[in-house]
Amino acid sequence: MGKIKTIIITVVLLWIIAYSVSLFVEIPDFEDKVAIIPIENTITAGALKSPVQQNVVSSSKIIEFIEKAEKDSSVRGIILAINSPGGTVVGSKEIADKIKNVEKPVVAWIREIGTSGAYWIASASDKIVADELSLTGSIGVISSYLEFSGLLESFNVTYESLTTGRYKELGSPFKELTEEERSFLQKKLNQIHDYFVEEVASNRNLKLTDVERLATGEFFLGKEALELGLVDYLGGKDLAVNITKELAGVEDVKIVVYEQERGLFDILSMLKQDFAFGSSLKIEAR
Amino acid sequence: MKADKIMKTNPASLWMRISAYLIDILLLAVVLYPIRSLNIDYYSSFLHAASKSPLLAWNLFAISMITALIILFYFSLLEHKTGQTLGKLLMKIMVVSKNKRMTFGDALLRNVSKIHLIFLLADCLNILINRSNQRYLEKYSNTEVISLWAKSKL
Repeated sequence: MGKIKTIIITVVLLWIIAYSVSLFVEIPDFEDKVAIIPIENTITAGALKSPVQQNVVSSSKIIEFIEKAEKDSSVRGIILAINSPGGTVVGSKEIADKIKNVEKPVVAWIREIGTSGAYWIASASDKIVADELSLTGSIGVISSYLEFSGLLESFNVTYESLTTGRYKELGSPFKELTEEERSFLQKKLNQIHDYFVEEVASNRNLKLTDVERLATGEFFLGKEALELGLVDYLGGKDLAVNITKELAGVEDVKIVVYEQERGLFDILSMLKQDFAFGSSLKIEAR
Repeated sequence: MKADKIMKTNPASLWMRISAYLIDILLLAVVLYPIRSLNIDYYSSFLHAASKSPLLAWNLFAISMITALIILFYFSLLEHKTGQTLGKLLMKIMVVSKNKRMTFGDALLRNVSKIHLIFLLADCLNILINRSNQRYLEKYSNTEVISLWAKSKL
């Protein structure tokens, strides 16, 4: 029995050593890979608002995935699988700026929809692949909010507020916009619109006047977008992978998909967000 | 010494030893599973890794060394302490020293070739070439594997 006990103790100790080593040492896969990063639903610069609200994607998370793919030496190229109508201006810009600084080839693959802020992101990629029936373009900016002043009035409720700045109350849902405020807001939207147009023109090597002509908020089918120079190829995932392989100069690749995993901690942190207060005014590229 | 008497008269057969070794290898496969699950291909990946990243090559080298040490310690420690590994226990064979007592150094020396199959095969050439019951390293460490089945016959 003594011998068996010695054998068992030795084996268990050696297994613990092997297990500990496996926890601390990371050996990346040597196979060349292409990372697919899905960008789905509305893009936002902040965290998700609620565990049940699955229709937003955080720019921080997308940037985290891009950085992960950049650091992994076995990842030879990145495909952004876009299926989004756009989102907040800053959220979209953050992702587009990040893509421009990535040294590895980045290919945008527009699936059902890649409009507005999502198209801004796609335009920052090296190449854009879209289905001939994908919706794309829609270069424009929208600002909207609900305004309840009429409702309050019908219930004989008066909204009183004291402010120190002329535009401090801009976007309050409890009062109508004045002409001055409307003009002020429109001016800001125009500035963002111009910036958006300049970015698309620069990213796609298009003439500014051509993009200005297209930037009416109109969306285009993939086929039309190809003729207008807004996308490079018509096709799907296979074509996107082949183009990425060609740009990366590799033949065989393994496809890895970076997707957000949601644990209990994420759900709790999202619940916490619901209790935050903020302005109801949103400016979005969608 | 009783073991000496058995050793002189009944060395363990080659097939007993191979069977014991295979049992030990199976057990070590379980012990080393966490490391093997890191998906390491020691030959092709090491060379590939060295060309890709020095840190990666170093990690692979360190893991190879740790794996070799685990194998070496499994055989050496158990043979030093009990004269038997699990495989030898099940096959009823035992390691004995021609000296009074097998030191840990002797155990290390006789097992050092087990860190890789190629070294082990080279070590076993003495059995094939000289029709001996000892591997080269067993000869140098003054140790031999004996059969305990003989006990009842003596």
